[in-house]
Amino acid sequence: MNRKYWDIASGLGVIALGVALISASTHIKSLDVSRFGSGFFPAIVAILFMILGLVIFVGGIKQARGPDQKVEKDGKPRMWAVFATFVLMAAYATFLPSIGFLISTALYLFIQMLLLVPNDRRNFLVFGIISIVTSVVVYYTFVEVFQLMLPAGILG
Amino acid sequence: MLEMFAAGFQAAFTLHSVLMIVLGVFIGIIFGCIPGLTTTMAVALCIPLTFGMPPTVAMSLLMGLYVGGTSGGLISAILINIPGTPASVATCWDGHPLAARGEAGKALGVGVFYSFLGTLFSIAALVFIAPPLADFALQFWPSEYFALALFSLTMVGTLAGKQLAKGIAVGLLGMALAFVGTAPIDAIPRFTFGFHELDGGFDILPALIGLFAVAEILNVAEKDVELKKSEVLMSFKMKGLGFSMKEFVGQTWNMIRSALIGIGIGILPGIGAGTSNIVSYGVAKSQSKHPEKFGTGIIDGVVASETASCSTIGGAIVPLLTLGIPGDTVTAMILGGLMIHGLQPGPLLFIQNGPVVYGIFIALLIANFVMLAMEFFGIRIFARLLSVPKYILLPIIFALCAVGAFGLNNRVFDVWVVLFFGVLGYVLQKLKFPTSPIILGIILGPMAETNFRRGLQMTNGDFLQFFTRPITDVFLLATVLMIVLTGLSHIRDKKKEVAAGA
Amino acid sequence: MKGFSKKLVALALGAIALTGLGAQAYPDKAIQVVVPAGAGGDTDVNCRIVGKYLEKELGQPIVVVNVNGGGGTLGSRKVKDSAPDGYTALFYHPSMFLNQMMGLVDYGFSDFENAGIAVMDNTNIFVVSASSPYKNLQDLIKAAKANPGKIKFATETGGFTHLQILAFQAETGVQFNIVDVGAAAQKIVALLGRQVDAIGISYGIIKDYVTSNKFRVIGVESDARNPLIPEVATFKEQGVNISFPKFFYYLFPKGTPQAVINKFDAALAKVAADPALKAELNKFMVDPVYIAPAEAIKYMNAQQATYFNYKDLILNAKTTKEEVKK
Repeated sequence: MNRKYWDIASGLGVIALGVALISASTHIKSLDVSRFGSGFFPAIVAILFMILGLVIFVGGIKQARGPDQKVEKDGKPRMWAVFATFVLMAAYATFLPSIGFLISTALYLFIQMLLLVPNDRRNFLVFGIISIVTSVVVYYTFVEVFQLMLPAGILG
Repeated sequence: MLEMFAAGFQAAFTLHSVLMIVLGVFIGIIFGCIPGLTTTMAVALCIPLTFGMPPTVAMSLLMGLYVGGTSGGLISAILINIPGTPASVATCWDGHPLAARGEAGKALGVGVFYSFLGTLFSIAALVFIAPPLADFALQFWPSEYFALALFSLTMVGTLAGKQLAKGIAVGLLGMALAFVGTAPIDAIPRFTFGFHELDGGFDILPALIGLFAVAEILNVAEKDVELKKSEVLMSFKMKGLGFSMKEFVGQTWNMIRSALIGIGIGILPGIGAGTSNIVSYGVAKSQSKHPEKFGTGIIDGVVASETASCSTIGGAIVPLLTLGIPGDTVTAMILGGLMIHGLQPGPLLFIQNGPVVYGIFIALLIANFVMLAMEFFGIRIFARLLSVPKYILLPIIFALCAVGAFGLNNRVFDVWVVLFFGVLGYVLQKLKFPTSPIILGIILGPMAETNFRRGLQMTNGDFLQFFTRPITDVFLLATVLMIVLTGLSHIRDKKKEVAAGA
Repeated sequence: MKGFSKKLVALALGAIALTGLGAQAYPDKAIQVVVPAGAGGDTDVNCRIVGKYLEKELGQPIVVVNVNGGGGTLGSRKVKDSAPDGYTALFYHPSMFLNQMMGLVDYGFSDFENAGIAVMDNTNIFVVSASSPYKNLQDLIKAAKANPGKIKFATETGGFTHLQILAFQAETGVQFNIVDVGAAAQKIVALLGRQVDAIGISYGIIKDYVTSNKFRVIGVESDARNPLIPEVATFKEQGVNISFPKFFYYLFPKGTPQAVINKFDAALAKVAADPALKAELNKFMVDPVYIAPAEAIKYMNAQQATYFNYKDLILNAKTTKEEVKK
């Protein structure tokens, strides 16, 4: 989709958000039966969402009628890297309690660095060392010195 | 009072004590400049370390942490556009553009020096007018907090700049996200859909980390790493303090106003540096003769943000020592620390433990100077950090953010929250929505709602009674004014655009 | 996925512990004690002070972990779901009954292993401003009867003091205007700033205000007068038959081996008898006690029953107010 249509979509999205918010608010079983209960503020926010969504939508239409927008390209966007980073972080959060901080973090650092580095600067050895050292230093500083219990996982 | 000072001086100026101050400032700066680790966390983690120490020495350490931590956030804010702590969020907005232009020295110099000034100002207020300030804080009933929250929310409009509708929508999004969790007043779960993990709602810290740090990582993943940018960032030269006398004089009113905002927000229990730096920035922008320059890299923004966040330090200590009520999250930790050392903050503290109190004042003062020295001389070292490529630095920062998020409530769920806000921030940026208003929404939404409903409880449902209170009226009026002004300037900008573009 | 791995780990550790190997070496690393409240509050401070002594006795660090939120439910739930290896404990007070009554959680203290009661707080008081016309509970009751729904009483909704106020209203037939202000610190601010007429709070936090003549205590909710504050009459003495001791207990996740709990308890018993601990806690007007698990369970069951008497009260709190207004 050409960039100039994005605001139309955003506007609709915001309106949808308002609708969702209002419908979710009706499910709030309130102990406070007065007018200004726990559903009051959400309702106001929802209404504002719908109004603003409309404004953005209208602005989006004006934009769509205008010229096509040139996308400034500084390098080819690597969407696969973005997605991979997200998956990596999710995996990190998932395995953190079971594998423990030390291993998860070392693995995370290693893979994340590989994902971000430009192709010509890859250095597995350096990355590996940094990953392990950082992970160990952080773990011991927080667990031993500060007594902040980080997940020990299978090592502890 | 002079004898008290002497007693305090004696207590605080021992070798042991000064060593602790220096250690505290050092650790504080480190926790402050690493995104994900906060001042509150630093104090919480160091309190057990103070168990064997005499009270004054323990307090010296904590004061060092407070000062170092609050100010330290500016380093990462300026150099890598990620705030080290919630107290330096607004510093990113002008601090980083300055650095990107090769003026990192100026940005850092301004940030550090005005942090120092802000703290100094607030120490003076603390020492000389703490009791009247505390009495003033007691005048703030729920209706005042509500009006203040409303006024601060209008900053969203100022921050949004040209994209007013989108900016307000994002601010509302912040408020909506803050609804998740246990509702105020009746304590029923809202929008949790049965997930007990959500009962506590979203904490501002993981949200911040996600919006700034994770979004940045996703950004870097998307584009090829900009190597040239790092070189520009590193090549700054610093003459003296980094800024000229002329600039200093020009910032006088900004500084004074920001310090007052910081102290004002500090003395109110429940709001702290995280709010004051943003509000100060917003006020500075709206009162400036050249608001459109804010965000492009002018020192006004950095001055407003850092002066306010650091003057909140002294401000937050006022209610802590005079009433025994913490002014912000850091002082809440310090309160626990005081109690564990057998000191009960409150009306009798000055009388029963005068030397300790004045020892705290002196420790703050010394810590302030130590902070100034450490940060200035450390600027070279901070710049070195930038020679570490982003593809190594950012993953390490994320790992530390995970520690910070986890350390909040000792659960992995908060790490997921970080991820959620990271994706949210990234998507918002892609859709060309401003992301900064979300923070205001998350912090101020609950403040507005809770106090609105509490105020109504007190008046038995009569909203009009809110208007009978003078301070409330002042803030409500200011809110209306801000809305009108923002609206007018927006219309004016649109007209200019049409005239120029057509 | 997460839960499954946790259960696996829990099973494995439980098995190791059950073989007695774990129990003999217990504790061989730091013990996390979860406090379902913010740092600096009375639960937190009590836990840290007792923790200091437990540390010395057990020879391993006691790490206090604050898990605030959900009215205390986040913390209790975290411990409930933790591995039953003796290295995660909960330090809490009667608010857990409240959480259960209000339906915020579907479990009670009997879903945990009980490790005894450690601190007794008989300092729950009603406080008014020193300049207020109410000299004792009867004054307050008279004024409330004359002005139903007008006298402002501050509380934290769903919290310990909220229940006390509701019980008070039920016993005396009065109607206050119950206003939510938040936790202890905010209650103090509210009373200092004259926002409200009365608050329910623990004595320890406001003792300096009493000494400096800013606050006046009009009654203490214990069975007998508290020897640390002998001048304060109990509610019962003043004709209001309610008493709410605030007791702090340790709980471990269900399935924690008995040997481990016994060791922890032995340490707790020793610590509770330490005069130095007593002195420190007395500064905050609370007392170390040691009520062994068996006794504690009986005591807590009885207390829970008392609390549950008021279940309808607290669930109907708001509607009652609306009816009065009409």
